[in-house]
Amino acid sequence: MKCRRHETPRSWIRVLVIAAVLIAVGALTPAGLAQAPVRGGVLRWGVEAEPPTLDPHWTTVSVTAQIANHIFETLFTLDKDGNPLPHLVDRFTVSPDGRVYTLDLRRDVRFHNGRLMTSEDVVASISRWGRVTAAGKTVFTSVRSVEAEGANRVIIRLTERYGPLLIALANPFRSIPAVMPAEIVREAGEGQVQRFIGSGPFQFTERIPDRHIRLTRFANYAARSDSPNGYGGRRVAYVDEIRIIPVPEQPTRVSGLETGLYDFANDVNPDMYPRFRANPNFQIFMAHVGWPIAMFNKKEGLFTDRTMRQAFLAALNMEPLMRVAFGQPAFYRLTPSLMPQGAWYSEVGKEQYNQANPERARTLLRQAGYTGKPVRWITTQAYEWMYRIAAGARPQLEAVGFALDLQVLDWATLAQRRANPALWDVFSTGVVNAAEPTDDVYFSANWPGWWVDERKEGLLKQLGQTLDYRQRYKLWEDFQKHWWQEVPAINFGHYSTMRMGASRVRGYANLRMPFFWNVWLAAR
Amino acid sequence: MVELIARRLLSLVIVMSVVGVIVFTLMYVAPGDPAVVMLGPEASPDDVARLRRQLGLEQPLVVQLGRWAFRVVQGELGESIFLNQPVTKSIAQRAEPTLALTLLSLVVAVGLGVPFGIISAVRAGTAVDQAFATLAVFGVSMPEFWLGINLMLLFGQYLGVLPVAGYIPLLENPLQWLRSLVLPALAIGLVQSALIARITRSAMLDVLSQDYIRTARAKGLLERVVVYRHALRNALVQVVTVIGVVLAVLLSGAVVVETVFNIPGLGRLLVTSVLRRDYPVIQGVALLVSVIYVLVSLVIDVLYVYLSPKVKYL
Amino acid sequence: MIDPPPTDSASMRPAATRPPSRVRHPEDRLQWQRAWKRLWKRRVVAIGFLVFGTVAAASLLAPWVQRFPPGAMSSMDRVAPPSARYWMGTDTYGRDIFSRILWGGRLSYLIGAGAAGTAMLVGTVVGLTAGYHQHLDNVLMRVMDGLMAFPPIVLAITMLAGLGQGARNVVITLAVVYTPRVARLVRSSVLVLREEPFVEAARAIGLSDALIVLRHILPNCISPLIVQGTFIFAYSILGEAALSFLGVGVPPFIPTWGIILSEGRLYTTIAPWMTVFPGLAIFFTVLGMNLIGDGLRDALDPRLRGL
Repeated sequence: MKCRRHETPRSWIRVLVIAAVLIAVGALTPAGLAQAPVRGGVLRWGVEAEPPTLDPHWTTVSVTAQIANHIFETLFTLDKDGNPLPHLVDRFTVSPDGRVYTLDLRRDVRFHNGRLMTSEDVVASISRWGRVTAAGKTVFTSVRSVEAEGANRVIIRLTERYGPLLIALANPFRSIPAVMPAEIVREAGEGQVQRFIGSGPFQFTERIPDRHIRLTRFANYAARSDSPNGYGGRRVAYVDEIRIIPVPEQPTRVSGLETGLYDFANDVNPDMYPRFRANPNFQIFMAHVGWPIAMFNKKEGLFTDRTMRQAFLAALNMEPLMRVAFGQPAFYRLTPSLMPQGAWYSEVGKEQYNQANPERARTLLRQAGYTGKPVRWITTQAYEWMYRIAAGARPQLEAVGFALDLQVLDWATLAQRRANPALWDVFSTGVVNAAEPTDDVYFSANWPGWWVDERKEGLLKQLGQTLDYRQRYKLWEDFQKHWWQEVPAINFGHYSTMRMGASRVRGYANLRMPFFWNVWLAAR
Repeated sequence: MVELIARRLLSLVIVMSVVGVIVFTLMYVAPGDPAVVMLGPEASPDDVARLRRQLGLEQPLVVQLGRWAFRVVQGELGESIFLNQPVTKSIAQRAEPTLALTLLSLVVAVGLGVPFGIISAVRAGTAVDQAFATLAVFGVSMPEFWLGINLMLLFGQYLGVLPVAGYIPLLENPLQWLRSLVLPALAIGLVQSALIARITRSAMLDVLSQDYIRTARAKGLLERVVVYRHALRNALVQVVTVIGVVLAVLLSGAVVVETVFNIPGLGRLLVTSVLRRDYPVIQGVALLVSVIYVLVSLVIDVLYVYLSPKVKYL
Repeated sequence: MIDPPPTDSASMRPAATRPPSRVRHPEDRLQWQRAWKRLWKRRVVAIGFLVFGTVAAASLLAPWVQRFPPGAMSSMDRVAPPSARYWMGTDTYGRDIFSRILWGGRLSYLIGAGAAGTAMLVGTVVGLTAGYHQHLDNVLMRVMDGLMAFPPIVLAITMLAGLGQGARNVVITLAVVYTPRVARLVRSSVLVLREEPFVEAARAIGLSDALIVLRHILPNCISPLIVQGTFIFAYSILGEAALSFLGVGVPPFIPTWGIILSEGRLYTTIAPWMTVFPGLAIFFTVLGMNLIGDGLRDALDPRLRGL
């Protein structure tokens, strides 16, 4: 078992890494000294791209969500274990049949334009979210109405029981269900929001595209009184300003951090890890983000045949692929799980995942009657690891008899082409962790790849309607088992992203989405 | 002179129309879709299609081109798709870094190139001349971005004396502004200084062999006076024309070097706009840069006519 | 970078006003022999040939010189510094950079030669036509002006955005960038030559235009063309590298020097060998070509000696 053999050293290294980070952070913040947060300063944050907009509903681009989380807030957030936690909501009740949610809003929440938040704002924002975002649309297939009752109560009525509702309303990852003033929503109409006014601890101040986005402390922010927990609880803006600087060139992000141009950098090349590991001037953070996948075209062409997909899977040896793509063993994990470590993790399907069995692949190819027609695999370097996995897989696939036509496109072309089933057989993409199994778009029959499958739909529907965790976990394992038999896509393993901070950045809680409330800058 | 300028300006209009049509057609046939870039990796195909309609990307080429040309004539370059602001504004915001970088590179190129060229010419055939010639040919053989990376490593990373990347606006902090531009300006300027040195040398040699220089020497004038008062002034006429060409080359050198040093200038705007398929911006930048390019060569030609009485027409 | 050196445009400028004495009849083989002798007398040219020849020979002999197959990945030896085993270190896939540079040279030369060859061919045809047929002159040269109005890299990036990535498209793009420069050079030579007595004589005895152009005009344009060609070849190699570095050139599985450089750009600080060596390969090739080009110019065109 390849998977096992590498398991031990990796978890060992993982422990070491975490220990090293803890020691590094601990050493810098000896008890009693520099523990007390200080206010002030500008935190300069190097991010990987210029966001297309700061409208949190409008795009699924991650940078937008990362920034928007500071400006906008949501009805619920996720606690440190990934469970929903009331945020703009004060208290809530669910009817016994699970179809009516009564949300009592906090009364002290103020928007950046000075106005108090009311139920009308929530209704307008959540309705827009349900209309515009993919995640919202999924949720709203089960929503009958979202209504205001008085100034501070919102009632959500469902057509059927829908377990993941609160998690969906707490999602900080993409297309976040942010609450903004009703008039801003009305102004936007069918287009983007033009004024970025939320209720978060930081307010939008200035944007000069490709140079910086400035967020400054919102003086009238109404913090919750409960202690910080995950993304939720009390949020305090210690720094005066967060200056977000788009730095698409990855080495520049690192060298900028080294020379003090930035205080924090997203998405650093993991191969930098050995270099900075022992350096007390920097903190290294790892965050499990998701997994790379190769999606098969199940509507047209070679991979409509399941045997072909199984042959593809059987040929692959995941270890070298993940190694080439993510560099340092600490940053990847070989696992068949379709959900991250935690409540939904499962190793069902590990017999199929990572077979590295060329013999079986050849047999399957023969069974499928493969004639050597080139497999059109479209991939991109917009995310370096996507291309690297494809480049690494190529010799493995060719060794068992696949002919490969690897097409490297930029992101704009890949994302356009993948919508047309006539143009490709496989495409590279990454799936980011969902908070909830039912939240993943790439299971959908409408998403490129077009996985039309009755059993899958049935399982997902049951998952949505079941509330009990044990039952749901069982259903989820069935789903994952089905996945690895059907192979709608290849799941190569889990990966983590590396982030780096200057040592003076204190109080940073490293969750999947980076955020800088409750963070302060120690004196240099 | 007036006729020359008028004629050149008229041909400028023709050339610009050619440029406009070429760029617009290229963008129309370009693979890729701005809508998918905007909406992110998990957007649904329906949303993408809706946004494309909103952006007017589904209309035929002629309609789009006509609409665009109509606006350009009015001095408008349209709206950026990705940045959600007028193209003219996007360009204006990025003009400063590119302009500053180009001018500073020019200072480096001329500041090193002209003296080196003069010294080589005065000492033609000596070891100094040979050494400079070798350096110059080394200089022109280097990719600018590669030189940029190496400079960044040496001065930014190992020696830590200059910032490795980024741009500080002049008005924010003049000293930091200068520091942020030194390395990229060197990367571009050094390469171009090699060219200017070669031109200066040959121009000087040309002039120094002229009769009036011999006369001046015969009159017993100091060598310094002969070289700097008489020869240099005439040699500079040739050098000026080359500087015009160099200026344009510097501008495109900036395109690549801005990427290396993360400078938010026009070059990076162009490259990132290509990746974002932000067609109006690509068209706007290409058009603007071409206009500048043509205007610079016009100015240089006029200057050339003005400086050298021998040339009557061009 | 992608731009041809201003020296070319500068040498183009006086071309039209060169003294007619420079124009020789094609039969004058003595001139060529003298030029050849002059060429070899110059030490720099010998050095140029040596530098260029070494890199070129190593690339041509790649299958025999290589230490590993260029695509062979060794995921355990990723990002290894230069050593006895890996002379120039390894890249992120654990591939031997030395072997990749050898093979990359073949591709870079092919792209450079393809672009330069196409530009010379098309440019010469356009230049001859425009120079000899005055009614076509205006149309052709306005199109050339339109192409010249773009800064080369802007034209190249825009064209590649339209055509899409790929080795063939890079060749086309670079050829389009350099064609107008060749065309202008040839046209200005033709404008001088067509008034020459030997051309008028040929016309008087009733030779066809095509024959006059091919037999009497073209051979006299050859020497500036050869000089220009060397530089365009060198600048095509630089151009490919720049475009691939920006991520708009050839796709990454075609390991040209530009691609190898571009792959190393994420590693400049921790693994400088990934950028230093392909950079040096480009540098030495272009250096060699420049030295040869300079020598050729001196030898073929004594007036410009020392430029």
